[in-house]
Amino acid sequence: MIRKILKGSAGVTAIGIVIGLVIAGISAGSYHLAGTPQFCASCHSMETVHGAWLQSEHKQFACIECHLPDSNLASQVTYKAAVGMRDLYYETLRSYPDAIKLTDGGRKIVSENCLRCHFSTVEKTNMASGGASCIQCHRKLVHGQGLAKGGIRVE
Amino acid sequence: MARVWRKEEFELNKKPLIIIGLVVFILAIAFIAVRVFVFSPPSIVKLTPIPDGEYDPAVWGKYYPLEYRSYLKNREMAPSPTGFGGSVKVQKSIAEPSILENFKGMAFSKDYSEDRGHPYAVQDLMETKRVSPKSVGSCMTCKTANLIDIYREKGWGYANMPLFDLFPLLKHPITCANCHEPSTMALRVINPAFIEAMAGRGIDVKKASREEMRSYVCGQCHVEYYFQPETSKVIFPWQKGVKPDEMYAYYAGQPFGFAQDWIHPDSQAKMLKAQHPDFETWSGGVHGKAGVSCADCHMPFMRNNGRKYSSHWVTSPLKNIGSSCRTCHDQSEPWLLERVKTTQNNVWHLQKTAGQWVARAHEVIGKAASVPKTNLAELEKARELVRKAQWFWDIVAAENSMGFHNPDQVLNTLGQSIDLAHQAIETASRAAGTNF
Repeated sequence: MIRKILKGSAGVTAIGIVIGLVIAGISAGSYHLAGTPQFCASCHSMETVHGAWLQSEHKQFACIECHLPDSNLASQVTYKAAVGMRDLYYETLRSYPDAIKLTDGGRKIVSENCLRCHFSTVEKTNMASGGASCIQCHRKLVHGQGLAKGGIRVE
Repeated sequence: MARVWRKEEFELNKKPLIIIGLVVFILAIAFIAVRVFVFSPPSIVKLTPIPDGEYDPAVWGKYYPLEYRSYLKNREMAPSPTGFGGSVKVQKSIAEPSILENFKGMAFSKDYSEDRGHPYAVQDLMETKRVSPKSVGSCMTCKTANLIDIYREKGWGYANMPLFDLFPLLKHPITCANCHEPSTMALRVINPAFIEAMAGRGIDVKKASREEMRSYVCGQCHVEYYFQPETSKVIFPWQKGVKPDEMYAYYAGQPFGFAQDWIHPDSQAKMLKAQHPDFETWSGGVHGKAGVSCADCHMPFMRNNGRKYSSHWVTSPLKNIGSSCRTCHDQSEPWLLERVKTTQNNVWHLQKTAGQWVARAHEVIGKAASVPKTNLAELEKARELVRKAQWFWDIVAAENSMGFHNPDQVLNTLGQSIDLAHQAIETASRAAGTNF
C-alpha cells in the first residue's frame, strides 16, 4: 500500500511538499533567530557594541533594523548571508581589528535606515538630497563614546 | 593479451568520498561552533596577587604575559611616525641648536637627549652627563619602582641624600609596581610629590575613579616640577593652576625662596628650566577636556587571539592608529596621521622660531650690559622679559607631544614667547641707548 503511494506521482509530490515545508520552516526559524540581538551578541567581537547599544536611546530596535539594507527579503537574505560569512570567518580566526568599523557599504545602509524614521526631520534640508551620511556626525548615538569605556575587568 | 577491465574499476567509488566530505563538513561546523560559542576568549583577567616589594617585571609577567610582552617593546629604540619625539637617544640640540645657547651655564647644555623607554630609566639616569657627585637623591624619584621602599624607609629624607649613594638601591627601572597595586592589580600612584600636589588642588587621589587613574599614573611623573631649596624635596608648581602663565606666576612668588634654577652667563637673567609638562598640557587640551585619558591613546586596548588587553608599550599612539585613534575617530589612518603631522609641523616651526629669538635676546642683553652708562633698571626689565620668554618656549619644547596634547594653547604660548623675546631685545636696546 505505502509502496504504491510512494510510487505514485501524487505521493512523491506530497512528500516533497512536507520536506520542503520542514526545510522552509527551519530556514525561516534560523533566519529569524539570527536576526535577534542576542544572536549578534553571542560573538565575542560584538560584546562591547552590544553593551553600548543596550544603554542607548535606540535599544528598542534590533541590530538588523539598522544594519540590514532597507529592501526586499531576497536581497536582505543575500546580504546577511554574505556579511554573516565574513563575520564568522573573522570571529573564528579571532583576527578582527581592535576597533571595529563599518565598511563604506555598511555605513550607507545604516544611514538609509536612519531616514526610515527620521526622514521628515531632514526632508527640507540638504541631507535629504542624498550623499550626506547621518552617522558622520551622529556616530556615537547608539554605540556610545568609543569602545574603550568599561575597560578590562580583573576578577 | 590485454587486460580485461571490470566496470567497477572504471567508476570511482563515491561512497567513501561522500562520507569524508560529510565528516570534514561536520568537523568544520563543530570547530567553528566550539571556537565561537563554547570557548570564546575570556573577558576577565585572572588575578594572581604578586608579593609586596616584588619589582621585577619578569615575575609579574609570568602571570600577565600579554601585558608583559607589550611592556618589553618599550625597549625598542625607533623614531616616531611623525618624526618628532621617538625613543632614539639623540641630542635634541642637533635639530634645535638654540638649546645650547638658551641653557648655557647649566647641565642641559651638556646633555639633552631624546628619552628612551621606561626600561632604560635607571640606566639613562646613571649615564647622563647631567648628573654629578653633587646631584641629589630627588633625581631618581621618577626613575624606579624602588622609590616605594626608599620613601617608605626614609620619607622625604632621601631627597637630599647624594644621588650616587642611592644608585645601589635602584635595582629596577619604571616597572609594573609604579602603577599597579600588587595584590589587586588596581591602578595606584607612588610618587609622593604627585599625591601632595593633587591634595594641594583639593584632589584626593585615593578616591580617584579608574578613568582618572588611567591618567594619574602617567601624571605622577610626566609633569613640571622643581626641587625645594634646602630639602631638595620634589614640588609641582600647581598652586595657581597648571597653565604656563599660572605656573610662571607661581614661580614669580619665589616659593620657599626658590628664585631660579640657574643664572644665564650671557644675560645674567635668573632662569627657570621647564620639565616635560605632558600632564598639564594634556589636561587643558581637547582630548583631556573630553575625558580621554593618557592610557586611552598611549596604552590602547588591543587583542590577542580575541582576548582584550591594554597595551603596555607606552609609545606614540600613531604606531597603532587603528587601536588608539580609530576607537573614536572614523577617518582613515593616513588621514589621521596627516592631521597630527600638520599640528606638529606648525608647532615645530614656531617653537624653533621662539628658541632662536630667546637666544638672540640673551645675546643682546649681554651686549647691552657691557655698554657703559647702560640703564640698569631697564636692563633688569629686559632680564625679566627673557626669563619669561624662555619659560614660554621651554614649557613647550620640553613637552613630549610637539604640541599635540593641546595645540591651540601651545601655539598661543609660543606666540607669547616670541613676543616677549622681542620685547626683551627692544628693552635691552633702549637700556643701552643703541639698536642691537
